[in-house]
Amino acid sequence: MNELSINAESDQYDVVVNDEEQYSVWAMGRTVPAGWRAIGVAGTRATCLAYIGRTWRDMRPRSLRMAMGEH
Amino acid sequence: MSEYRDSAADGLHEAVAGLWCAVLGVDDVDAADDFFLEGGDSALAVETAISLRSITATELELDVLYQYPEFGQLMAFLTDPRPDREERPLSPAEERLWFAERLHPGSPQYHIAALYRFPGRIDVPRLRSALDAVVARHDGLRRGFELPGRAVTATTASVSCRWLDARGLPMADVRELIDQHARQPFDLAQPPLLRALAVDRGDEGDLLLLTVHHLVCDGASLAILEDELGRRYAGAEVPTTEALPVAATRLVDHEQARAYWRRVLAGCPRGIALPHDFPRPAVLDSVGDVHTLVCTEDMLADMRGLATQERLSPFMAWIVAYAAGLVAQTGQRDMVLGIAVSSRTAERRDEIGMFVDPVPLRLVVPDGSTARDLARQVRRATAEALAHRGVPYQTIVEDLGPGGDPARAPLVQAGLTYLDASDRVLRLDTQEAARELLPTGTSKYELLWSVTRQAHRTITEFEYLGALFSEEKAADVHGGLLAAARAAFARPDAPLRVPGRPHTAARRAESPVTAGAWRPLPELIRLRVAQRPDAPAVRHRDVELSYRQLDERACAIAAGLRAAGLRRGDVVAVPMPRGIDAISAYLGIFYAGCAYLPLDPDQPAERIHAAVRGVADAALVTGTPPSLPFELNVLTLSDLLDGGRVPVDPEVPVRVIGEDAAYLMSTSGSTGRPKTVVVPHRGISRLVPDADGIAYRSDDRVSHLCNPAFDAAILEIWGSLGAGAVLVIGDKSDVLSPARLRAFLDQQRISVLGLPTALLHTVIDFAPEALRGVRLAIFGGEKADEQRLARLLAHQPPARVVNVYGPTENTTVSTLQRVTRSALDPGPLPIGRPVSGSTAYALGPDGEPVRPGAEGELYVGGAGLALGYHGNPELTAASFVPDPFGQVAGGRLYRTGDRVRPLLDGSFLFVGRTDDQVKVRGFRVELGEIEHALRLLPGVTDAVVFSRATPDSVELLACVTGGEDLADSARLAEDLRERLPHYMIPAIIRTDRFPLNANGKVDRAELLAGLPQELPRRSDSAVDNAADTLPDEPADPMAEAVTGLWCESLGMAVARPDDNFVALGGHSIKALKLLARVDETFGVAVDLADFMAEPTLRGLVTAIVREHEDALSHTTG
Repeated sequence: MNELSINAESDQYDVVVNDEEQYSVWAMGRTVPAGWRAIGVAGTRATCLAYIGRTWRDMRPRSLRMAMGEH
Repeated sequence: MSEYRDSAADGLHEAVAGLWCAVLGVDDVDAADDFFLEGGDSALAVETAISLRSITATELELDVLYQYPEFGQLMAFLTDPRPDREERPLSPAEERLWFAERLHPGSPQYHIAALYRFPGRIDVPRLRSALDAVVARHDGLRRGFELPGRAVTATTASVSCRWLDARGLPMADVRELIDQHARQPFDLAQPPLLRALAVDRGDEGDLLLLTVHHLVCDGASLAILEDELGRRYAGAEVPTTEALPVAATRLVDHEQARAYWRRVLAGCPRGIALPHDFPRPAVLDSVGDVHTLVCTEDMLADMRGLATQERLSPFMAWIVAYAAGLVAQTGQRDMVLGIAVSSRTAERRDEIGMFVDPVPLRLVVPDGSTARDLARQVRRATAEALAHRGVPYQTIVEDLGPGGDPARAPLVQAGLTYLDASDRVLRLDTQEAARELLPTGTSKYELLWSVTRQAHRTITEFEYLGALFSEEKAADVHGGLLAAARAAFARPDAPLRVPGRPHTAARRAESPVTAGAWRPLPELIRLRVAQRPDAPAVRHRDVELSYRQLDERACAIAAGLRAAGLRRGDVVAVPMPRGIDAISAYLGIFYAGCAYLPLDPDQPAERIHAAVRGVADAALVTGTPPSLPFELNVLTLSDLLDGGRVPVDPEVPVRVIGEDAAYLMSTSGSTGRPKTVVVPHRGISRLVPDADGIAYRSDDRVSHLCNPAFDAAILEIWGSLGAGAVLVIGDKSDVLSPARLRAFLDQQRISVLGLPTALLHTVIDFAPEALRGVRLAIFGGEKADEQRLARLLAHQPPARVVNVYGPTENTTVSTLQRVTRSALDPGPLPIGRPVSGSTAYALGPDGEPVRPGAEGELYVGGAGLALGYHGNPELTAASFVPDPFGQVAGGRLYRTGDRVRPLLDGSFLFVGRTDDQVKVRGFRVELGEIEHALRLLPGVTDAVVFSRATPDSVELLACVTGGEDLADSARLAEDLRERLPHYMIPAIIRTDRFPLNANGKVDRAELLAGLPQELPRRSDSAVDNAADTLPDEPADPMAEAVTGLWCESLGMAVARPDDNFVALGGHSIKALKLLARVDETFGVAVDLADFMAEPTLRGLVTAIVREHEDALSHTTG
């Protein structure tokens, strides 16, 4: 795969999460878009993605979980 | 005529009779004498008219004797020159309403019904004479309309003024009587087109209803009527105003004004994508209703604030509100609104009549526009429109030329009116009553927003067509429209809202995501079932299910799934071919609250296992199912449909929301494992049934020809069922020859057709007229060939041809492009602009949008976005990234891996891929997956796979290295077939080693350059070895000709009778072309299914001979 077009120079990323508790990565130093927040885990892209692989277990959006009566 | 004559009249009679006798040379004259029968001719008639002018001292028309040839008539006219009726052609404004009236005769669509509630009693006799007095003074109120289109003004007319004793009657009944009275049709030929109803409510005070036809009245006229009626009722004189001199009110030269309208409307959209919930019927009637809201003071204050800063009139400010609301509700950024503009000239300022013209106001709202930007645009556009008014609306529309949906109004479907009625009251003596306009139960537009400023409040009325909007939907849309307008004025410098992307402030962590007003499919289809239970829903060969039957089946399936323990959110694999069973299964799975995973049962077992394992909670099968993992819970459709076994389940259909998973789709993954995309309901709901440009209608017959395991089928199935249309399932054989496809389309009267690009190309090559009966043809999956599309447009094309683009990760369609001659003209066909509810950006390496014309990677977002990849958080996080541009906080964008160039008009041009993904005859293929599969074969050390463009599509080549035990190419291909679907099998070349680049990696470019241009045949070695031997002698010239076509089709020099078409690299589309060439050459239609059963050259020759003989026996017998 062709690697990342967003900020190719930066090799440090933040793990970010949105209100739906969906995860992604964001190049460190770029303003985190509204509705997303860095959770304090940072590192190379691979490190961040691996962290997400371990952490993001229930991939349903939070609104769906709530609609199904779960939290 | 009256017998009574006064002395002056006697004198006149004498003088005229004298003249008559002198001119005609007669002694006497009688009332019945005819000027021309008595010997008068045209010269005498003119001479006589000139003499009559001096006798009467008036400027008589010179054809007066033609008008009144009898002496009695002539005298009557000269005594009282006012005719009892005066005719004239219709004005353009009248003509428009007259036309609407002829279209819907007797419709109250253009009734103006004003209700006044007085605190006390009304004196009905006084009211009656006051009304008659008003009518006597105003020509407009004595005007009627006659066929074929004439306005006729009568001398006298008396107003029908009914009195109704409604004391003690419940208000609801009174209201019904009033509505009836208001909606009762006028006889347009019988003036006055005004009537009154006084309702006696005893101590509660009387009501007065005035009903007047819009043909003779408008908003300003109604005010004049109220004013004069009040004065006459009070017995006061109405000041007679001198007719003002005709002022030079011509604003701009007529031709210049026409040119202005042509210019501003050039290329405008001919329809607005209204978010209605009912499918659009083929013919719209005018039945409608009104939803009313009261504006908040906050909003009005904010609105006044912006209006003051930007110097907007109140009407302009409401145009801003309407446009902001419509952008938020429709997502459309280029729209034409109808606004009413007065054509009243100064000298007619006190006249009652119809002086209103709709004017099309075009507004273009680019992404990121603010309310202030919009306000400035509205101010300028309105001023210009006013300066160029006077061109009749019909002329403006005609000048635009044909276009748009013939079932809709030609240019404007959404209108706005604004009326300041804050000081509008009807005063009868000391009593006052405010005017209340009653709904007429109709709508003049698909959507009309009427804003009325009353004394103490401002109300907005949302007048809509009942055929398009349910009451709840109308209330929703109206609320959304006003809310968006309120938000726009509250933050005039923030970007305007767009659909599916609520404003940042509106979304909090605790509020569930509301993805717009879309209805999840189970609900939508339930609605169709309720609307037309007996309409056919799905048809396959001769079997048809109605919506009710489909619903019953789906309910039974859902109950069965639930009885088997499946719950909301579970995944059910459906390895079924196209058919009614599969459709019933999908809907049943929806009704159970589950998501379906469609699988092609013809795929290699290993791939099916890989797709299902860890993803599906159960499988639903029919007939002879493919092999499935043993641990999977396999349910049989016929068991579930055996109603006796499963009790009715009250939970069915299970309620879902937009974020619930609807379906999962397995796509090629570069790691060798398929990627499973999870698509939520909102992704489909934003698309079907009526996304702008690909809207389905309830009267459509939609073909289902695509493989259900791939994207394209989503649009076919749910577009059709979502619209309440008929889904007509085709068999494999129906698409395997253009002649067959043509027969299928004709026999099944298909109106909406979806095809993969490659198949469309073949159809264009061999039967371009096959699509002539189709209303909407949708294609996609690969880059289209513009020359072929141009040929299509030149040969009885479908009414609308649309190219759709989009990855599975964005629910099939991200952008769409209508194929028109002008779209093809400038060069490559773009992939178009984002479809409703979607966004698209071309981003550079810095993550910022690139300039138009520059190249970037396409990122797509919006309501169509998938939830992610099933069970793969890492890949999901890597592919779905935070959206820094959208107005939804926390939104994501999917990186498509497609390289595009944004164009100035907001569309995109496809350039290529950033990675190794290719499309092979419409199938998405990761080269990495093929490499991975090759490396797993015994003896293979390494493999590199390339794709290479061919005239039709793309061909795959694999280079493999291995040890001593490496099998030959044919054997490798055969082994690969166990693991991969047919479209992923490459031509295989064995090499000793791969060239390496400076980094020690395989140098793909050098490897590719070293490959032969002619593809090696992935066939049995016998053919490879036989390449230099001569084929068997052709038996006859026909066989020779067939051999020629065969070789041409496969790109080979020689062929033998036993050669196998498939083994030699022929796929279905190539076979299709070969058979089409056979048809062309020999006039024989060989069934592709037959050919594929025995795909050898000998078999083909035999089939042609057989068909030929059949044909001969038919024609001779």
